[in-house]
Amino acid sequence: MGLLSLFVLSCNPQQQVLQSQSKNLRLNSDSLHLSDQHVLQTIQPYKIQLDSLMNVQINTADTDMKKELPEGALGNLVCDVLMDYAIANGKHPDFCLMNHGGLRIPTLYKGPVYVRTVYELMPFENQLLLLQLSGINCKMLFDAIALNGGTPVAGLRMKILNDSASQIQIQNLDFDVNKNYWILTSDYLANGGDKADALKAAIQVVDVNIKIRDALLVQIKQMKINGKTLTGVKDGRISKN
Amino acid sequence: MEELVKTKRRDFLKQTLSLSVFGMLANSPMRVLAKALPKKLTILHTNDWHSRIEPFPAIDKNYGGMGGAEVRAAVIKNIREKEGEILLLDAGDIFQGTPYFNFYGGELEFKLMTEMGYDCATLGNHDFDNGLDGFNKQLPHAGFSFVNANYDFSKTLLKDKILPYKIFKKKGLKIGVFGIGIELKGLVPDKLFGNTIYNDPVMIANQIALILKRDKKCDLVICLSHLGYKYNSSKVSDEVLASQTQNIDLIIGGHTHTFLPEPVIFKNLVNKNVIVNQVGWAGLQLGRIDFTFEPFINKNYSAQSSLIKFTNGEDAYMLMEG
Repeated sequence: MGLLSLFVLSCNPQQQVLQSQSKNLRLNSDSLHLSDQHVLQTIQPYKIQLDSLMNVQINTADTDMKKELPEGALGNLVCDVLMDYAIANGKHPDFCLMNHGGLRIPTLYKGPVYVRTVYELMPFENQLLLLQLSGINCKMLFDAIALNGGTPVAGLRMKILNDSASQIQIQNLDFDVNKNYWILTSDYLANGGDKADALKAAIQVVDVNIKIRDALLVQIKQMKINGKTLTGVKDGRISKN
Repeated sequence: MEELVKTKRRDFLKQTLSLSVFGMLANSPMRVLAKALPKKLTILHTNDWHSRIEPFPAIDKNYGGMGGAEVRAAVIKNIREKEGEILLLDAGDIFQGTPYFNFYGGELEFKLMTEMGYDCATLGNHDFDNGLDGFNKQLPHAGFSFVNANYDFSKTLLKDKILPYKIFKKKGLKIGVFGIGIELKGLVPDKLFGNTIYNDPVMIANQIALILKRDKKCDLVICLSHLGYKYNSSKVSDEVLASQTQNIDLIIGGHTHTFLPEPVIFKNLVNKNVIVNQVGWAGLQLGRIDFTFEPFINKNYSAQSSLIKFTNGEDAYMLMEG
């Protein structure tokens, strides 16, 4: 018996978990007076180069703007700015549609807006596109938005009633299911991302030839030149009963 | 003499047979066994780092001053100094979220994780954001392994570069680590994941975990999952994975950016405990789980089909295993 036990022990028998203890540790600067010089040195050359590009103030935000559903001040701002960019560049979208998940900061805070802010808001390399969509497919799209509980838009107003879209207005005119509409959106959504399948039935697609982030940067800088600051407000463009 | 014997006993526990014979001279083997210290291992983990190299800026009302690679590296170093060998893991979405990724493509993230001594990571959906090519280009900067078992990369340039699983030997323990990824279609643009084929997470996880526990005789089986903690739909999640599999001890999750106050224990297919943990995102937290082990007694792999009735009253589920 003794020898057998010894044999088993020395052969390093398979183990199983007897117990576990866990702790999810918060990592902040006071979580230890610790620093790691080695890691700092690795970061430094990247940081210096990046800071020179990113820490450039391009405009000012008048208020805190939140990412929210069915509409949020931040989503409204992004879509309004993109509409302005398109119009300033000779395009005529009927409405703009972005995806809620594509906005990557929860709040744009009141105060200076830097190049960095826009990168963090819209880090993805998505392209800005114009799609022409039939009224029937637009209705499917609006119902999908309703089912998702809303999304960032501009040029469009609708109410979510029992998971479907109602009282739809485009450019302040009642939505006409027999008309085709031009939609300003991202290649991500145009390819059916975020379950926006209706967009895959586009009649025409026009590449605006700019990344969404770059369009935002250009237009936000232009607003500053025009003496305009960033003011995103909730105006009930999408509401839910 | 008593002091000497104690020292020798400790050495014996490091599995040297010659010294164990020496130990027998002073102690009966039974006494040695009774006093054998259980094996222990500390696991540290992160998920959804999203390129947050620096702490959040002070202006950020939720996370101002929190996170950052420097403090994480320091905390990890501190724990290593106390615990010796540890296992350091990441559950994916290392990439995307700050300009560091836009400008350097993940190079710095991989370099820093290498410096921190990461052992293994899995791929999240955002790790495809610069395409398979973009990920492949950064791989030389990663001094750690990537695992995923349910993406078939065999028709892509990542063929043989992502392992289905990897076995680590730490503190005399064998730890099998495998990766499970989320369905890419509809989440990641088609052109970015190319010919990557997505396979069913539950089926693959059961196959791999059985291999690791039964054939490879791992003491601990860990799944690095980027499925997400749970959903209000039938979509596969860590909750689903935990309850519909067996032979997994720990699921380290990601994707849903869930800050679990502490790990959650689920019952698996054969009513054994599975620990699920996830530590939010952005490197704001570091998960720590300290395991204590005992010899494996109940080798109930139940490789045959077993009929399990779900508690929610849905149809019985037949598990088919090879």
